[in-house]
Amino acid sequence: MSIAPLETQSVSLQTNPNTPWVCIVWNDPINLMHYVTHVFMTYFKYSKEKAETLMLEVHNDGKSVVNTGSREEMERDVNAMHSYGLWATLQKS
Amino acid sequence: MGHVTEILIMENRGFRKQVNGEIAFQIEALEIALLTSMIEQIVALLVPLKINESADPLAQLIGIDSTATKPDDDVLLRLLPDAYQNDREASEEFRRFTERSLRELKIKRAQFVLENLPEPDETVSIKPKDFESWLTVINDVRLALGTRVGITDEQDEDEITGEEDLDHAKDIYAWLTWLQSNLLEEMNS
Repeated sequence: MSIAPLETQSVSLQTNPNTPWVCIVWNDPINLMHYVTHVFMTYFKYSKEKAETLMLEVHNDGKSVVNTGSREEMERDVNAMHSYGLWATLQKS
Repeated sequence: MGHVTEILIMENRGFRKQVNGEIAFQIEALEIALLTSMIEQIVALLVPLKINESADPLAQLIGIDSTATKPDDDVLLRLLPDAYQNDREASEEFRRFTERSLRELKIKRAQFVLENLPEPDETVSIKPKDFESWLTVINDVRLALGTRVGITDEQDEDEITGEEDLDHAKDIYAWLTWLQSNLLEEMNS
């Protein structure tokens, strides 16, 4: 295979440069509350207060939008969340 | 989310942050054997099964895996989840671009912890630069075991099922939860 999909991807991004995307973290029964807070503080560099607020949103509402940005940025975030074992997806906001 | 079974917190294994910033704690021979076995099983799961010799070397070099597809195994799917909720095509494309490097990262961290597990009766000592590796590997083990034994809601892990194997697995799961919780507490102290 070639690296063509990369080019296709950047073209599609250029056609919708202003469409924001979101990274969503979903609740799950295994990840501990203080682990999730720790991940938000470590990866996103959020304050303890903000990280705890987002963690509680995940815990109480089942999900939380933890970051907003371009599709590429949100894909990077989702990939990072998966590396920490959090259950994350991205979508158009 | 998961929670820590309170009674286990009472147990004292001398978790402490040392003057040099390292976290030290005691671990029993049986626990070392358990951790070793579980981490090795995760590595075995994560090692990509297909080695595609005809794959584009440039694609491989930048971590693209044209053969990556959604895992059939529940544990593997929990470790390597879909990136899009209701878009199978986008999820599969995301896997082709990212899954190989995610597997490699998880394997690398797991192997690091395996190599740094102490001999029986020695104390575990973790340097600050290695905190994240230990934390994430223990989390991957909890995800794998929790998925295997079917932890589905917040109370599940405390239930006694009467099935010996499952109860034993839940004891191990509770121990891992306790271990991770103590590590986190010392890291942030």
